[in-house]
Amino acid sequence: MYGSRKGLYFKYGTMIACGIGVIVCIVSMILGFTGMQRDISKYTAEAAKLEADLQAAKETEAVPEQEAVEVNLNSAKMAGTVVSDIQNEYLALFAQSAKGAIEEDAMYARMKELREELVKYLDEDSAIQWYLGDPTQVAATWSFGTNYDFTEKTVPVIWMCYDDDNTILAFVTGTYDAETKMFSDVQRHATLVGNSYIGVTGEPQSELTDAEVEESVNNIFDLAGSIDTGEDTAMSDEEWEAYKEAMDQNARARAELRDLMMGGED
Amino acid sequence: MAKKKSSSFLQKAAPVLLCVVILVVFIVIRTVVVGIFNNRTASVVARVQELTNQIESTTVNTQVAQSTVKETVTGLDTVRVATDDELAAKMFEEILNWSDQASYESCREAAKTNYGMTEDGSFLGTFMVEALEITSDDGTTYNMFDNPEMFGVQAGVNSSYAGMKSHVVRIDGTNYSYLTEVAMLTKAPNGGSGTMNAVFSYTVDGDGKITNVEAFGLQQ
Repeated sequence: MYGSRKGLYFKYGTMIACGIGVIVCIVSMILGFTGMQRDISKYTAEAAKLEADLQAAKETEAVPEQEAVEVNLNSAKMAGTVVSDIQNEYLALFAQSAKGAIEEDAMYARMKELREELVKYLDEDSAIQWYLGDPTQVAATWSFGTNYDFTEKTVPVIWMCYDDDNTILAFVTGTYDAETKMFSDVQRHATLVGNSYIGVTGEPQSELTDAEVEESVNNIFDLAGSIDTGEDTAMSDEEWEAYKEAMDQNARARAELRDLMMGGED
Repeated sequence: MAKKKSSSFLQKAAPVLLCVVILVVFIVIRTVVVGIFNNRTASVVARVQELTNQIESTTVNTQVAQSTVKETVTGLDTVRVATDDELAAKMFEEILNWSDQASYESCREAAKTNYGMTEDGSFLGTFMVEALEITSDDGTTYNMFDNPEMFGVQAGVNSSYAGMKSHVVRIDGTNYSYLTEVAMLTKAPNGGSGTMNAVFSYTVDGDGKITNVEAFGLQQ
């Protein structure tokens, strides 16, 4: 009796153990397959993304045709030179006006024509006179920088404004689009030296040598002093009032000049 | 009797044998399926590698072809520009990182020693000029760096080079001339900070020597 029950326990025990073993094997196999499938899915997704990247690389990084580049660069150079010529004519008009060598009406009429010409190449905000230095104190000249870099359809460009001593007064960067034949992303910059000739009041700088002008306005301590650090700069009330007054005077002088040069009598 | 014993053994061993059979079948299935999965994985991984290589070679080929066109049309060697940019950045690191009188003086010395600049040249004569000092009646000396407010400078008198963007403006034989926008960070004593912008002009010759360095602060 006891022996027969023992046999029965052994039989069921063996069956249960084998069953558990089989189940464990099946579950581990399924989990293993799932992990492998996950790896395949991951690599498949990566391959799909790389396919797209490759296509994009082929399309966007197309090598420009030499002939097309030459045409685009020449086109940019011609347009850029027209713009610098117009800027130089603005400066010449400014100088003639300062000497009283041109009637105001004639000057405004010509400035209007120049602006109409400029808007063919520049957006409304950029199609203005770029440098407003006092012509009695500085002889400024714009030149279009030779282009050495480009993408398939665009040409980065630079215009530089020097005085007769090759001091940089201002420069303008932009991008020429060979399809629209216009400049965009136009960024205008004036140097501290160039800016010192704009809206000048007080002692004429023409009595100083170029080096003296530069030393007096261009040194790095002046540059550091002109930075807004976004914090209370601990000026006294009197200093703050004097600073504001000086800034207001400067702003008024600039506004008057700009109005004058933009043809305020339209 | 022996037949009965054998039958009893088979009866007892049947579940185990069944399990063994099932396991063998599973092992076979697993081996086959793992083989299939491994083949598929290897094939997809190989495709990923192939595409990665293709993208790299497409980019490199395009860059080489673009450089060739640029050099043919304009004479611009883009590798040379990248090298010159590295040299210029190294120079800016050497001469535009200062925080007190001692480091300012050592930057000026580096400008003279490493780049042949002189006190009466444009850079040291008009941009990074000799720092001023004030001596009071009791003989105490005040410098610009520790006492900027005494010199009318409200921001901090310090500079740390923050970056550059170069424009090639002339190529004359092996000499490349650049107009380069440079940003420097300055910190005010009370914790504020701002960016000083300047434009540098310089020429780099075929041996990597930088000359004719001029710098002009930009109006904010």
